[in-house]
Amino acid sequence: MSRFTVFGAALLVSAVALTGCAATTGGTSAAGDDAEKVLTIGAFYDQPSFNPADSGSGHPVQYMQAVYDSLTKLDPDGTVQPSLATSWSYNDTKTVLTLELRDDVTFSDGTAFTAEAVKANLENVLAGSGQGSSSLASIQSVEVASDTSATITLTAPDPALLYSLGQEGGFIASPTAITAGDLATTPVGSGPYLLDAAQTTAGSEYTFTRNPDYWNTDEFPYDEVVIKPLLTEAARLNALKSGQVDATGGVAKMVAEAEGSGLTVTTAPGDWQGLHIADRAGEVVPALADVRVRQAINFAIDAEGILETIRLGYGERSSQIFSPSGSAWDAELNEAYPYDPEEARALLADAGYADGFDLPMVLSTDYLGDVQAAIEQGLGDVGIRVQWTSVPLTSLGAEMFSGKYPVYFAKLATTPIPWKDLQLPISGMYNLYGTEDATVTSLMSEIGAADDAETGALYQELNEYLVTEAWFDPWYVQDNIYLSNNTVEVEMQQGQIIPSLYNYSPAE
Amino acid sequence: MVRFLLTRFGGAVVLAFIVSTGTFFLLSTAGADPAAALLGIDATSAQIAVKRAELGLDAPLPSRYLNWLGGALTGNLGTSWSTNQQVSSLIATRLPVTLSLAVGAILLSSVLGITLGYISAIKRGWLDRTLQFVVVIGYGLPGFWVALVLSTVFAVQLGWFPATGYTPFTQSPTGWAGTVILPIVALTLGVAASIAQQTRDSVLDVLRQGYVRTLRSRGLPHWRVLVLHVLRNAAAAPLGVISLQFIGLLGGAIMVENVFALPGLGTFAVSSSISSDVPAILGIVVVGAVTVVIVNLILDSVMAWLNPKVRTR
Repeated sequence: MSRFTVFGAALLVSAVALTGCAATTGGTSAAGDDAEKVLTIGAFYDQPSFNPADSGSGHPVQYMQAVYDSLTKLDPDGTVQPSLATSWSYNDTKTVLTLELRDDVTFSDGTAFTAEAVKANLENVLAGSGQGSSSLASIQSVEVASDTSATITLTAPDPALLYSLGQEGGFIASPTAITAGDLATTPVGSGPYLLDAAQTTAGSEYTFTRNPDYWNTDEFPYDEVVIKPLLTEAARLNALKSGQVDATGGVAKMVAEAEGSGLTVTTAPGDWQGLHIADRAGEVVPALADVRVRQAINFAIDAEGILETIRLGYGERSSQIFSPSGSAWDAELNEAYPYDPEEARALLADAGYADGFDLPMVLSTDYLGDVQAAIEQGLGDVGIRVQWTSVPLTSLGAEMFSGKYPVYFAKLATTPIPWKDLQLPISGMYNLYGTEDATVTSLMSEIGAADDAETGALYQELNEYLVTEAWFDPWYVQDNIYLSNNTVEVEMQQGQIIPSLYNYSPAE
Repeated sequence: MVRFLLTRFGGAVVLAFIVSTGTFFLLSTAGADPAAALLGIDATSAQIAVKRAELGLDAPLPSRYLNWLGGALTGNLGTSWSTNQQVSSLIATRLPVTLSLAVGAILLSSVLGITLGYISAIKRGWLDRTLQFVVVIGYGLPGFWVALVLSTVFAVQLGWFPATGYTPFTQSPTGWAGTVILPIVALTLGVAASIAQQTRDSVLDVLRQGYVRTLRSRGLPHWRVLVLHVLRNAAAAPLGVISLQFIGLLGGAIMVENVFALPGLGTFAVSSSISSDVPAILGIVVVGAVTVVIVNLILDSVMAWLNPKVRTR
């Protein structure tokens, strides 16, 4: 045996021996009742800012929930519960919301939580660039009635407001820290944990230690929470399988390997995906003004096939833009548009487009590359000739909302609150041409004025109208997938891609 | 020597200035709105406007450049738009990670590559053919695939090494070693193949030279001819490859960093590019330019030591 071989073997053995003594990063919950309980989570993304004004829904939630309380709290099924706001009431027109607040909460910098803090925070979020400013867009003003009472005046009824105050719109930071201006990197809240700067490396590992003065400790059984941004699927799965993290988000192609490794897979309804038929007035492509043409598009795409082959079956076939967990959902509507190219061609012929028409669409391979072929083939088979314009991902938003593309692919979140699901596609920027419809406007106005118990039927009526009129071509509601090991029990949060921090508990 | 170093230092400053200025104006006129890229597809025009004001994007371009330059000259590379951290702190945290991988991989691959290439050229025959085959395999195997296999086998299944994460050397030397061994091995294969091939070709070229025959005919010990004359004179080409590979490793370890979730410069550079984080990109460019100059300076010094003729140029 050559000297090189012996040397190399000795080197390898030494390396393995050394790493046997190496400190390992990450951890699992400690055993024993008195041992410190540590929860380590692998996150999809890094957290760029702890300022609630910059925050969005979805992935940032766990970072924010670690250090901040929210005004309301959302149960796993989306039911709104008290939190910093102990109770609330609306006036008769549902345009003034009065919040009664806790009087026993202090921020980690010693500032007391009062209605002034609520006013300062809501105004901070409204002035920011985060998604919270969209969620709270109906707020006209916030007034301080007393230390424990705040009044929010709205421009119009907003049935999703209390839900939003439990997420990106309602994280409450110390008003002193808001004024200081360094919340982005130095969060100061009243939440269950405190950011341990000494054990935190931005972009790599965030350590949160228990807030000894927290008012609701029972809700958070862990003494320490560590969140590690693991940006690739391979890193997340390997970290989970090797025990470096206790739980992490997954995608469909990770499930088989995860289950084979004895990991737990939990799912909940996530985004709806499909085509937005924005040009319902036919401004760019006249054909789209005809409901038969829009219905033909719905019949032309093999949505079930896309769900099975590209999303590996993790989702539910849907023709609706609402969540299965919400009151607008009607399972029968999913039968409205089975894959039927013959029917699509017949509808196009009835509408006077037997020879089809050209349809400009925008493409970014990072965003819709995996479904591009299905769209082009499905529409092409019925005579609709897609003309793609390819742009980089960084320009996709500007192009998509430029008004040049009457139909575009998009993914939108679904939540237990149908009103929230309507905002972007109906009232917001996804309604590119500002199309108004008397029936939709009337129903939304009725919903805004109705009591919660009455809205279910109204939402379903609106849903049926949107499906019949083919305002959209939804294909499915994709599953949010979450993976965990046997040391932790996790409950998914409806309408949120990852569980809320209070949805984790040590396994029995 | 002092004049040589001063000249090179001046060159580094000029290079960093030219590269950063060019990068600044290219990024600023590229067309994509950084505020929109940072906020994502669903950002409203009002939100984008708030972000633009926050980032100072409404100021005239020359004014923004002079602000950045003024800060850079005093060591302040600005605040990252995507992380809100100081760019200099981010680079200071991430550079050691990437340097650990790059230095480790280049050392290991140099030893491996030069040894294999040298033996291949000296011994020839079946050994040479075998090593040529191994080199081709080394070229062909993608680094990220090797990283995935190493991670799956040695970290996940055997548990000998951590699957992800980085432990700073100052925190725990053995922990640091554990977190960089697999990534270094993953990076080494392709680089070692390149060095081995270049070394083999260079040694063969030197062996054909007339003065080598002359040295042998004078009765010099065989090992002395091979080591002090052949290897020394054949070193220039492999050293050139080594320096190029090292520079490439500084920015090209991104795939391996991703697999092992290492917070290095590679992943930082990619994420900054995707989010149009101009201050971060500029900081990386400046550090990269300075590093290239330092690496070339070291290379020139080694070449001058090996080959006296270089010193007189």
